[in-house]
Amino acid sequence: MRRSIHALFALAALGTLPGLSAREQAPAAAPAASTSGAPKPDEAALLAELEALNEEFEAAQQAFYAKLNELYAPYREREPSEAEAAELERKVKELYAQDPSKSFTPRYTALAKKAPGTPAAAKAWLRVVNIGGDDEAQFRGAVAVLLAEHLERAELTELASALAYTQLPPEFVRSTLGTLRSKSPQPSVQAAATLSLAIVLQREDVAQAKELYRELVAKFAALDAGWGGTYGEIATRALFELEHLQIGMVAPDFEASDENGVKFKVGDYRGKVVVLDFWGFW
Amino acid sequence: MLPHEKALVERLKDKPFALIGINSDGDAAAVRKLLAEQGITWRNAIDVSTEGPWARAWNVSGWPTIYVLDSKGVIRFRDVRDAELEAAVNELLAELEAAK
Repeated sequence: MRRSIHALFALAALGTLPGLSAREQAPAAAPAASTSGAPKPDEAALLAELEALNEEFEAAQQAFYAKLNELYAPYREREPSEAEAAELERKVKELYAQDPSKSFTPRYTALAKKAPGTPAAAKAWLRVVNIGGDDEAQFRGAVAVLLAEHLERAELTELASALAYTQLPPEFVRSTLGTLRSKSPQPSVQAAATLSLAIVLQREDVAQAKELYRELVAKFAALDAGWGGTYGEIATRALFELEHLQIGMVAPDFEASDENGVKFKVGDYRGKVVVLDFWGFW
Repeated sequence: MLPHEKALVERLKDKPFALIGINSDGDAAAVRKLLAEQGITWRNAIDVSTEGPWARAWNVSGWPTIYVLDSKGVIRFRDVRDAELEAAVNELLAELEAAK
């Protein structure tokens, strides 16, 4: 029954032949050469400090979300009254004023500045990128340092991936992704930046997005994206969606088996208006 | 979503209309049980999990994901819910009626 779907995966697999093997990723970059004269920062101590800060941040975040959850708890089963809704909104606002990301960003920044160019600094700047998302100046500042001082690192994959889903100005997002794509020596960064750029462009320039997805299939087919499979698989699915699942296109057909084990196709329903609802409770 | 869908299916039971679920909650037995519990009467394709072959082929990464097809099998709406879904279905049924 799954023949047509298998064909799709076979296509993805074919793309892997000339591509990179998943293991071919360059080893993690060596720390940038320490500058002469300045006392060499103790990398192990810095990483330990970063680790402690991460733990503290995660605990603060958990507490924050637990409180938020508590505020909403009474209204899971029923709608709040007007007065309750107003009170809820006030309390949620109050809580968000103490959102831990606000107080932790300066601490990560301070840590990063202690040892410029080191792996610990790169990790700290990446944290600033990840948690300071709605503060544009902070985000841009951290990105500037990462591009200037840490461009060779594989950890920038995280930055490349994050840039697919930000509210930052499109120009800035595109130029940063362009730099990561063309200047990073790391296949994982190049691939993640290419995918993010395709996702960003898909909204305005489908032709260019398709080209980028094809590039992913050609160059990074077997490289693991960390979620959703390999870049080849992700790009092949995105291309299929762009080429077959847009408004105005005839829906592709696949044979399915229903809850009683009876096989059927979408095509069996020609002549009827059909709603396809991908759903689940899990 | 669910109460609205039930109302839609009930209202259009004599019309050229079908709601088809593509469910990712497990195998046929698990889904049969779920459908009975929830009082769902419409047909469901068993996709087993969120990594199922349908979800993969249709590049679904969020649930629910909705497609509305006209009588010729052409995709006419994507990701419409509740009142919007209702309006989309009404529009396509009216179109089909007018073409007769």
